[in-house]
Amino acid sequence: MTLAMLMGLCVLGCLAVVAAPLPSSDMLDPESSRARSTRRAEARLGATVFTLAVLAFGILHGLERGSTGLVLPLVAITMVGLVALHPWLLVRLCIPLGLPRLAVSLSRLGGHPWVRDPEGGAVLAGALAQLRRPVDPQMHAWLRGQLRRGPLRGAGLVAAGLLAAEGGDRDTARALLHSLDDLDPDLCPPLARTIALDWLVADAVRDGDWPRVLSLTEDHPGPSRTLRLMTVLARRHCGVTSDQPERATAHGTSRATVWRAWWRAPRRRHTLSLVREALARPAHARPLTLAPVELADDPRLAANDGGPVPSEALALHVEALIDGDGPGAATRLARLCEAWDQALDDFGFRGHVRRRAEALRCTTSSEKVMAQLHRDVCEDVATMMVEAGVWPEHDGLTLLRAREHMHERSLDELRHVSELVDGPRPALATVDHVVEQWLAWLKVRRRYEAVARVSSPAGALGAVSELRREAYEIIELHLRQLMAWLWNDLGERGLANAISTWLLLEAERVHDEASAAYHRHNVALVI
Amino acid sequence: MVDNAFHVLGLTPRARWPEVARTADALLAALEAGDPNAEFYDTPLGPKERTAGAVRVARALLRDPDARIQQEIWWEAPSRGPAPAPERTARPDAGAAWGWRDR
Repeated sequence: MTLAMLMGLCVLGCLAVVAAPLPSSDMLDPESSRARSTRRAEARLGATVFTLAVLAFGILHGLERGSTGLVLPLVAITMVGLVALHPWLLVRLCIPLGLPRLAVSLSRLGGHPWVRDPEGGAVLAGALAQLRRPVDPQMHAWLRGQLRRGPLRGAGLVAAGLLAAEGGDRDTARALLHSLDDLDPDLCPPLARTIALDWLVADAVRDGDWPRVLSLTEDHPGPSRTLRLMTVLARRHCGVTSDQPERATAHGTSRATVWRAWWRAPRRRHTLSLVREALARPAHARPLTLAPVELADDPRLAANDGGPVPSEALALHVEALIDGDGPGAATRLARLCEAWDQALDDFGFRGHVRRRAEALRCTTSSEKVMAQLHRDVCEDVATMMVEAGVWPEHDGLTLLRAREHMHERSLDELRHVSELVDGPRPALATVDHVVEQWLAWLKVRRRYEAVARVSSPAGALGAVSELRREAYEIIELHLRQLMAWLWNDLGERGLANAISTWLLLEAERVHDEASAAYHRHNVALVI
Repeated sequence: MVDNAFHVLGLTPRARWPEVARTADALLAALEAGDPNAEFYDTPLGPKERTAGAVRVARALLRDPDARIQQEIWWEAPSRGPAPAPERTARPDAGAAWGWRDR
């Protein structure tokens, strides 16, 4: 009787857990992703408690009657039930064994850790298993096909990224994995984020780019043991101490710290060569970035400062092209424009060009030759301004025209890039179509942000230029259509929400009230 | 600047048209024959790959006096060479730290 009551209480408890309203139901929309994933997790928890209760009841009941024959079958049934409820227990074994199909099939049963993205999580488990076995194009295609069974969310994006890397396209993989930060956190399982970070760090290590490893891992709240080892190795390579990561020192991370991190990390045999390589480097003081160029350093910038006209301008032009967006870019470009202003106004240089034009029997006048030269210079400077993301301060004619060129060119390029998101939008889209459009939007955003950097100079904090407003108008039109297609036709609400959220923030920055209101409404919709 | 016609053909502004035409033809023949000495040319920003298309464009530019004078002005840019690449050692087997195979 006591056991029956115990069992009955357990059943009631499980039913209460499953049927109980969400603890934060006042705050959450019951149809939202968070509410649905919470309900899924609660249902699993209730079922797990119920399964264990049945096992306990069965064992106790058998023992009470003096029979142990039911114990083993009950334990076996309970194990099967637990695996069905928490397939990750078994999937974790399938991944190192390289069994992608089994990993996908088992993961489709749902549960931890993919409650926020069950479909994508199943494919991600398969992709992880695929990474442990030889390259198999057929398996690769099968896994990609599985992605379209549900909307693309966090785990699905990571799976698409890993599969792109598997196909040799690391740039796409990087773009997809970095784009996880754009998604609503409720659509991205934490494990998917960890796997994405692991791949990005492995990619940086593969390139030998230790500063990139450091920037990826430095502020991570709960790094894995492997990630911690990579952080320590990156600090060692970059000469950064653990207590003062912002400062490069002559000693860097100590050998004992490196060996300790290696000892704690798994797969020590595979990471030993990385550790030896890091320790073989002499303790050195290599700063992470070059020291900023002060105004007093300006005379050192020119390769042949003070040479005959137009050598100085040409020398500065070479310097600016080579140094690009390095420290002091704004000063460098201002100085370059000033040098060109002087060169183009120089009577000696103009006379030289006139005589040479006569000698060559040019059909145009020397004035037109100078005008053409000036236009070429301004176009070059405009390109350099966009690439460096700086807005030089100078009142000369060259810089003025370069800004005009930059304005026109930036908008033209933005229009061109924006057309990427107008690509084919079939009603029955494959995962390739969706990923392609997602990558196109990321590209548009990168281009827009490059323009925004130039159009909102650091010295004019809060000021929004006309260029940024015009740029926003151009991209908003295209992205709004993309968003509508993703939301209405494909049901890719997570991706559409990410685009709309970004557009809302940008609309508020450029004070486009109508656009902000439209996207505010979209962002508030349940995803 | 890196596509300057004189740099592409390896000439100076002193070169007259016959020399330009002769050099361009020789370079086109060398490129077609796969001569490794013709594959790259020096620019103020460092070496750049020479293609048959670039050689043809350079020849056309130097034949037009209006275009040639622009090329002459830019030819004077001093050479500084490319920016030094950061010292990096690639690790193709980095994924092994996570149990992944190389790819």
